[in-house]
Amino acid sequence: MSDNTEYIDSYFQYQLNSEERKTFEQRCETDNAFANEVAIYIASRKALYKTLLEQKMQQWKTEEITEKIERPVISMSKRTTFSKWLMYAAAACILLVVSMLIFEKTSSTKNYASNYFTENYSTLAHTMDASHDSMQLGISAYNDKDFTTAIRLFEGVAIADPNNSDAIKYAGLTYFQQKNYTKAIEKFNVLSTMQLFSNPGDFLKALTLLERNNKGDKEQAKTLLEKVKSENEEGSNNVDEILKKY
Amino acid sequence: MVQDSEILNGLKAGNGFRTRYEKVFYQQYYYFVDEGCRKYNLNYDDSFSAYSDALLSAIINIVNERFDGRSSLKTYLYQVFSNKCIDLLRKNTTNKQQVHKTMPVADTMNQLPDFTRNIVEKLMTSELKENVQRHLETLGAKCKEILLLFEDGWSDKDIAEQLSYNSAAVAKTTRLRCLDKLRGKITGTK
Repeated sequence: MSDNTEYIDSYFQYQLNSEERKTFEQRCETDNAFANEVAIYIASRKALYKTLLEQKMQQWKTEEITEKIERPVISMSKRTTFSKWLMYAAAACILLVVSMLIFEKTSSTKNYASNYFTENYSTLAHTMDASHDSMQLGISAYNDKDFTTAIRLFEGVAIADPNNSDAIKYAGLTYFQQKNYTKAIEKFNVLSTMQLFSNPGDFLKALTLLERNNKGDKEQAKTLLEKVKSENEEGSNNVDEILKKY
Repeated sequence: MVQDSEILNGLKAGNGFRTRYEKVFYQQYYYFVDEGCRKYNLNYDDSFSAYSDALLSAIINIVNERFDGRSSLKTYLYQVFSNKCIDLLRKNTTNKQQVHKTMPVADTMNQLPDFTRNIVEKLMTSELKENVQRHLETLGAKCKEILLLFEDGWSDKDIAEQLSYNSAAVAKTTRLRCLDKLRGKITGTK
């Protein structure tokens, strides 16, 4: 077996550390024969995926589910009055819990933050061109909820171009989705220092602090939100609503 | 209507269960295909292809624990499906000449940074792709089976169990030998 096959496979299975990955990438750039082997590896994987997809399509298209999935069957006639009451009580409890959850959701500042991110940043907008650009691929990965790939791509762009505010913002949003609030705050912090026509850095940082909710976060978020409002920064329209929840 | 938790557990369970729950998953959201025809103006075959591709990507992500369960399966699958439909639309409208960019799945390639990717992409000519496809068909059944299992999201450990290899390491060596064999056929060295 060629050593390169294992080496290439390790790269694409994320088994190399960052130093080794860099060496691999540099070798692709300088060693044409090696780059050719990488191209063959990728082409082979794609051809295999294509074959697999064709097999699955055939299988899914033609076969019907013949076996019934076994699930516990509850006979209605065997239910006692007691079990009926038990069901009603359980339903009432569930209703109570759900209403409490809804109340909690709408009232707390913490949930305002997570709702805001869910409503506004569940998906990122694509442009219809440059499908192979790292930013676009990062956005695709983000929208596919493949946050590990997304963060790698956005961080890559941000390293190559530290003035790319979108890459920094998207990296922050991806860290937020991964619940890595400390890294998200770090990114929004960098964003807030950038000279932009409309900068959402402070507002996003405040929301992330509310979501993290560590000791002192809520107070720090309040100060930031007041700054967002007084300086009419991006997000200032939402500040009053959040401050009411304090 | 089968619950998300049941589908997720079924897909992550053993081989027989997985096949069965793949079908359950497929049937449950099959109506997306109509949605693809209506919303994205795709023909049935394209919409079905986008649906199958989305379903397979979703299954592979689920079995590899890359689906974190923060949305329902329906929402998740629909997002992946929408992206696949957009990819197809883009391919049909703007990239008609670029026949070599046929597969919407480009995850492997995406791991490379931009500059390196450009170099490798240039080497992936349509001739190479046709060559790979042709030689893949001549590869032995055993090799094809192990490579397809890996592509389907099974780990080397799972493959070792399914194909009765002594260990994950043996399965990995066999898999890499098969890849090497395919490469040899393509380059004409084996």
